[in-house]
Amino acid sequence: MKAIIFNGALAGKNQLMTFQNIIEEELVNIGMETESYVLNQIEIKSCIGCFRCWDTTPGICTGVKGDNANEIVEKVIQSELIVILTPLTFGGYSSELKKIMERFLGLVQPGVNQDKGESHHRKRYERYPSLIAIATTEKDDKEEEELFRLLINRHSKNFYPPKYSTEIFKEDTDSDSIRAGLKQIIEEMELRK
Amino acid sequence: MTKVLLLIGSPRGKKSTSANVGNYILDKLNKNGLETSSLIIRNQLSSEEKINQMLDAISLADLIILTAPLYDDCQPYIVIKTMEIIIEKKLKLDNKKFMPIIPCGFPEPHQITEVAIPLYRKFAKTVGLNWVGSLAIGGGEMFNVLQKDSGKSLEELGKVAERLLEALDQISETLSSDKNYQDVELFILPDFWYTKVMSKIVTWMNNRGWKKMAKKKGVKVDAKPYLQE
Repeated sequence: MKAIIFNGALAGKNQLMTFQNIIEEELVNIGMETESYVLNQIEIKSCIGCFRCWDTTPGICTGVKGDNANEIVEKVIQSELIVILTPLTFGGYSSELKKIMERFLGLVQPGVNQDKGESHHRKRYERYPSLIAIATTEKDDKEEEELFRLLINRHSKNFYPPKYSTEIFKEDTDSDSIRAGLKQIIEEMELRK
Repeated sequence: MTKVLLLIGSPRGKKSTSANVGNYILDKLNKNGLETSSLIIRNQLSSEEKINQMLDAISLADLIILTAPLYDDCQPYIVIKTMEIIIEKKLKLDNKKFMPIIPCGFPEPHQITEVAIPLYRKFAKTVGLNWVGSLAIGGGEMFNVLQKDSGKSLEELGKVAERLLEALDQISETLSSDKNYQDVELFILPDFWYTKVMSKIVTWMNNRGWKKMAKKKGVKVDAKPYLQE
C-alpha cells in the first residue's frame, strides 16, 4: 500500500515538516510505503484551463509543459492514500498545494454526474486514493477551520476518495500531540483494511 | 474620480468568461465616468517587476473587481498566490472596495457560494477591504464556449445571455452610484432548465458532447492511461 504526501508549506516557511515526518513514520508503522513532495522545492506549474486532459489526450495533461506533474499524478492514482499538508489560507489551500491539486483534473472525466441535485465530475477510474487533509494555523478562527472542512468535503465529491479525514492543528502544537492526533486519524480511517 | 481596477484571475487570461464578464462591467463603469483599468493576473505574476506593477495598481484603486473562475471549489492558484503576496507585502487596503465575480462550469451557483465566496470574504476582512457584494455565476463556462464558437460578444449572444447581462448591468449601475451590490447566486437560464427532467437531458447532452469531441480527435473520453495492469 502506498501513500503520497504533499507538503504545501510556502518557501522559507518550515511549519509543516514536523507533520510530514510524523505522518511518514505513522504510515510506515501500519505497513504503508510513503513518498513525500515538498512542493516549494520542486517545479510544478498550475493548470491553464485548456481542457486538453479531457478532450485531446484524455487523462494526461499535455497543455502544461516543463514539469513533472504528470509523473506525480500517475503516482497519485496508483496510490491508496494521499496526504495534503497546508497552512490554512483564509480557510483554503496554500498556493503551493493548489498548484498540484489543479493538475489532478485529468483524473476525472469531463461532463457531469448528478448527485442530490448537484453536478459533479465523472469518475475516470474505478478506484481513487483515500485522503487525509491537514491544515495548520496560528489563528483561532473557527470560521476558517469550518471552511477548510467544507472545502475538503466538496473536493471529495469530485475526486471520490473512498475515505477522507480533515483536521486542523495549531502551528505551535507539540510533536507528541501532533503524533497522537495523526495516529487517531489513521486508526479511525482503518487504512489497513 | 473613482478609480476602478479589474483583476482578471482566469488562467486563460483574456480568452475567458472572467475577462468577458469583467470587461463588460468595466466598459459600463467607464461610460458612467469612472476611471477604469484592468490587469490579467496570470501575466502580472511572470516577473517581480510585473508583480510590483500589479501591487501599485491595487494600491491606487478605490474599487477592485476580481473576476476569477472556480477551480476545485476554490480560487485558482494564481489568485491564491496574489492573495499571499498581498499579505506578505503588508499592502494597505483599508476601505478600498472589493467585489469578486466568480463563474463556474457547474450550473449550480451554490457550488461557488458555499466555500469560494466565504474564502474571498475572509481574505477581504483580513486585509481591510470593504466588501461591496459578489456574483456567483453558475454555468458561466457556457458563455466561453458560445463566444468561442460564434465569435460574438456577450451582448450579441441574445436571449441566452439575458440573465447574465441583467445582473452585470445592475452591478454596473450600483457601483457607479457608489452603492453596495448584494451577494447574488445567478442561475443563468430560465427556471425550467433546472427541473429534474431538464437537468437529466442537459447532463446527457453535455456528456455526449464531450464524448463526440474526443472521438473527433481520435481518442476515447473515458481513457484510463494510468491504470495499472
